[in-house]
Amino acid sequence: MYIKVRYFGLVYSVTGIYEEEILIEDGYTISRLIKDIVDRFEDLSRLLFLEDGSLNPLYRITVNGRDIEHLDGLETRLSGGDVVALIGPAGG
Amino acid sequence: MKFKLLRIDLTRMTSKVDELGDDVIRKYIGGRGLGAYLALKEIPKGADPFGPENKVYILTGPLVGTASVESGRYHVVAKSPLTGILGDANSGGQFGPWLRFAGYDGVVLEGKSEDPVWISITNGEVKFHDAKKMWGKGVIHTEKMIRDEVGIHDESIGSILSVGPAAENLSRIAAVMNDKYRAAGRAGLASVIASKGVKAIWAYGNRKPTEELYDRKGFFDEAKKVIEKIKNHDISKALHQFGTAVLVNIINEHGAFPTRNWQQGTFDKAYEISGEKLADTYLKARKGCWGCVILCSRVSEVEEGPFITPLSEGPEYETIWANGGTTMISELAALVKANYLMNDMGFDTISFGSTVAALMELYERALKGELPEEKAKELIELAGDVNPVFGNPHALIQLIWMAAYRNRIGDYVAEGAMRLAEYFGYPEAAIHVRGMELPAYDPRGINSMALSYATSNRGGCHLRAYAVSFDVLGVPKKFDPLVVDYEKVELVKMQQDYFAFIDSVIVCKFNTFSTGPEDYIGLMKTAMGWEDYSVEELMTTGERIYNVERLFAVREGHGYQDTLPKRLMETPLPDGPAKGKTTKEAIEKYLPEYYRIRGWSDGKPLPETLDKLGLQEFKYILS
Ligand code: SF4
Repeated sequence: MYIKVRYFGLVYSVTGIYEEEILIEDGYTISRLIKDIVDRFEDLSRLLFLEDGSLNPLYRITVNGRDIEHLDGLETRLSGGDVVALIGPAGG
Repeated sequence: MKFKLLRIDLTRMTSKVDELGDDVIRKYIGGRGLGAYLALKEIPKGADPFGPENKVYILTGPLVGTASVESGRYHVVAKSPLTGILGDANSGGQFGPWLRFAGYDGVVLEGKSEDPVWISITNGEVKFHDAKKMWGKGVIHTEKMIRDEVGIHDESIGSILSVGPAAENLSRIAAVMNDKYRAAGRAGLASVIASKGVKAIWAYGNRKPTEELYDRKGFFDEAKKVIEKIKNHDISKALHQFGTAVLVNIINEHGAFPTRNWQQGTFDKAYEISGEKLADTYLKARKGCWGCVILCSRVSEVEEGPFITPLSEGPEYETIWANGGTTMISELAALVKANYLMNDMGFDTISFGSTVAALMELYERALKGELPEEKAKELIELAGDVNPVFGNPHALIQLIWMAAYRNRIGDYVAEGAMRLAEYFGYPEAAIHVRGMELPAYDPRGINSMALSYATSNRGGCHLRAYAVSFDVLGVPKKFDPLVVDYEKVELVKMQQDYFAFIDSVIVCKFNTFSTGPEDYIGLMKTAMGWEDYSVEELMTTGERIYNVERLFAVREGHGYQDTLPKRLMETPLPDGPAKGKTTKEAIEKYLPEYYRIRGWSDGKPLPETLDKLGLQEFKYILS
């Protein structure tokens, strides 16, 4: 099954792509997704993680428009058709 | 430091200078705060916004034109023709600093001139010039004519504030423009300036505000710390890279991107009009206001095609949304062009796009027979060949000209969404608070914005409290935008008070992502010599200003209307992550708690609140 992953703002600056489809298997989590994405776009790790290895709170991750902080955090499980967004810092 | 206030009497063509000392300045600072205080004292109750009794306060603050702490700003305050209450608007660019360099910290326009004039302020000297030839001209041409007359063509020297044809024709949604593309956009204040016969103000001079600082060296040491903090913050870097338009995708993803005139919360073509797309297409450069280290402004150009547009500033997130998302126009080039034309005609781009979206809904309903028959007929006739349907970029562009010169349906668009929708018999199509069109965040999907909008003293506005920062962006910490949480009420109030200080001192609100009230204490002490200045005093000052603004509305008889449009209160969002949500629960639960912590009752400050804030002189308003 496939999920859609979108990259916004400074994350987009690194990936250079706005949206892609990724094949996932049962039990696939956000934490696994981030690992897979960072493997492909190494510069992302510098942005997404603070020195202590925790996620930079100015970078947000949503699943179907809901911030993972209000779901199960990095352990949020993904299913086919889900839309994940990796969101860089923003203001307006 | 004395605040030098230039009062210009347009009826008599005279001017005089008031010097305001600490007794007023320490309580109201400058900018928005000082403007609100003076307006409440000097503009009579029930004044006609276009009458000579209304006054326009164009004010800087003690930090303007000093160090690179995003201090290149000014504030405009007057009774608003759009809302009928106190209106205020803020702008960047160069005008604020140049007004100070020209010799004054603020200007008040009073009375009314028979004939159009432009005013030059040069090293303290005030001159009135005939502006008949400029009347009817766009902002860009007006600036050229003035620079030709003063003989200074280098745009980094001197600065011009002007109004466009929209204001001359008394549109209620006209923006005060400066430096061609910067706008003190909201509340229709440009038309108040035009109603006084003023087309433009030129400011130039050699005064150095930094020489008037109490402790110059100490000030620059403090400024350095603040600048470093701002410069190194991730949000400042993101604003530099993508500008505010980076929010298009983010807010759309959260289902709070008002679409189809607030009938949907997501736009399937959002990416086409996003900051990322802009960066990949029409963006040519990044630019900043005077003394800015963030440089969030876009410089764009459309080189070919039907929407060809010369190199110019913008568009911002709000402009893209109001003219794109809510109208469902997905041609980014058209939005770049519309932004350019709205600036030149002098429109508030938020109110303009929102009014066009309301028109599109009305037109659709007229065609479907959902408006009163006579009104539907009139609307279709007035629209003629414009075809104002959702998604039509040509209608948007055509309407800019038509509204600026009040031609056919444009005559109604120039009045703003509320009056347009009321006239055509379907008030629900106007999404506004107190007559001002709401900006680009649907509070059904970001529930703190429900409270923020409802209690905003100038009407529908995202800049009294930017609750998006904690409901979406996680600054200073993350809250769930769909869950009612009383801690957010305290944060909304805190932002409202803090932002009132920021608009008074004046620095850019984008500083508030990276700095807190504590960062301005050292600057205030060294600038003003207020050795005992504290965070507590700063926040009390903000609270005082917020109450003064509210008192203006109470005095005008608008004190009890903290609510949101029917559509947001009663119609659930049909799509996206906030599907099924309205703002009813948030408003019903948040408001009583908000009034409690504000010391208000039913939207009106209690007498003891005025005592606490040192506002006894305005107690008469409550009786
Ligand atoms: S951050 Fe943007 S709006 Fe603020 S002062 Fe800088 S350029 Fe102007």
